Amino acid sequence: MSAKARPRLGLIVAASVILSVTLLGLPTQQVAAHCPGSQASGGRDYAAGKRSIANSANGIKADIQYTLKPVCAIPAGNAFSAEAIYLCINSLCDGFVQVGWERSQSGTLRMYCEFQPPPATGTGFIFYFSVTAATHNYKMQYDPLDSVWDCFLDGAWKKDKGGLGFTTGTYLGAQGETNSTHTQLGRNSPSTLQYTTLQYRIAMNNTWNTWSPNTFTRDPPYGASNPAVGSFADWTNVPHN
Amino acid sequence: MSRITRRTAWPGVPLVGLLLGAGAVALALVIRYGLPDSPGASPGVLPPDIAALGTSVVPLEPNGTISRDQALAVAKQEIGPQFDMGQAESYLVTITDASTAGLSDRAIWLIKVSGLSVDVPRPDVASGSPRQATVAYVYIDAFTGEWLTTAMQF
Repeated sequence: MSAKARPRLGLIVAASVILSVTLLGLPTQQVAAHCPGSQASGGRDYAAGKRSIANSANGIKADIQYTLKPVCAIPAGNAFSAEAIYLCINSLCDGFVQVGWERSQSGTLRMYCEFQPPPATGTGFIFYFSVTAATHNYKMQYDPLDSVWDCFLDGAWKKDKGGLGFTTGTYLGAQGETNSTHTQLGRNSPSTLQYTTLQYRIAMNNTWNTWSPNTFTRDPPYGASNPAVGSFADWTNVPHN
Repeated sequence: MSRITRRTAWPGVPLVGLLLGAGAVALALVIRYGLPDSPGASPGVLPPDIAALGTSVVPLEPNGTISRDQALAVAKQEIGPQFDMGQAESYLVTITDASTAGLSDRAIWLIKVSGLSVDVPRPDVASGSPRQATVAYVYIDAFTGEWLTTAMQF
């Protein structure tokens, strides 16, 4: 190559790099910041708030926010993050119903209705439905007339399941959950993802009652709190770039 | 003379004609009913687990519906691109399932995917180890290709 041609080649390479970056975009710093890389025991991380209740409940509901959270591609394939409420048969949660939303690593956002009859090792069922990226009301309640648990999104019935072996529960929870070591829960601190209008239905009279969590699971680097009566919030502690 | 020789020796019905006739009948059957989409997808006969998914699950003829490949593409998007859909079973049916919204006399592609290992959410206080779903049933509107719901067991 002649000495005259070298500067021209340099210009072409530089122009190609600029064009590539322009067309493809730079990797966002947000993705790196939202991959904290920790994991608690059992293969899951949680930011959860919960409590026992004196009166048995046969329903739960809440408004749960949505946030665009990147589910990092580590490990490859099967990562998810979820925000949901649950009603357990007891504090050991041998059986439960759970409703909320889940976002998979492939980007799919879905709501889900989950049913786990006791024992906890028995066959469980989960049903996914479409949901928009917005705050929605999620509800699960027992219908004594049909002997089934009904699952709702924004008041619209989606699914029922009978034969669970329990009709009430005494343990309530709200939680962010992930199975990945590199996933955001809630929103990036100091922002938080909000659950509001946390309520359970008292079984003896079918009236809705507000509840607040009084115990928490906060697997690092995730946080959870009860910012106000009838609410829950979770977040991820990561430095902002 | 052998038995075959006697048959082919019928006056006016040469062997070639018989073969062509049989071929035409077979072709007509394929056009009428189509090839089986996958193992267990024979028209008119549904495996017990598929038949049990609703109060009524009836095989449907592919008339104006999306193709099996299109339905598999939708299912793959829902289940996750990391999973092999090569062994997925597919059933074109009309289903009524009173326990699920939107499934009243609905024409759907039902895609069954086995051999999965999908982590499912669970309460942090739940006893036992985290669970994985091993089989999924993906419901897709047979005419629009819209994903309707996915059911998993774990």
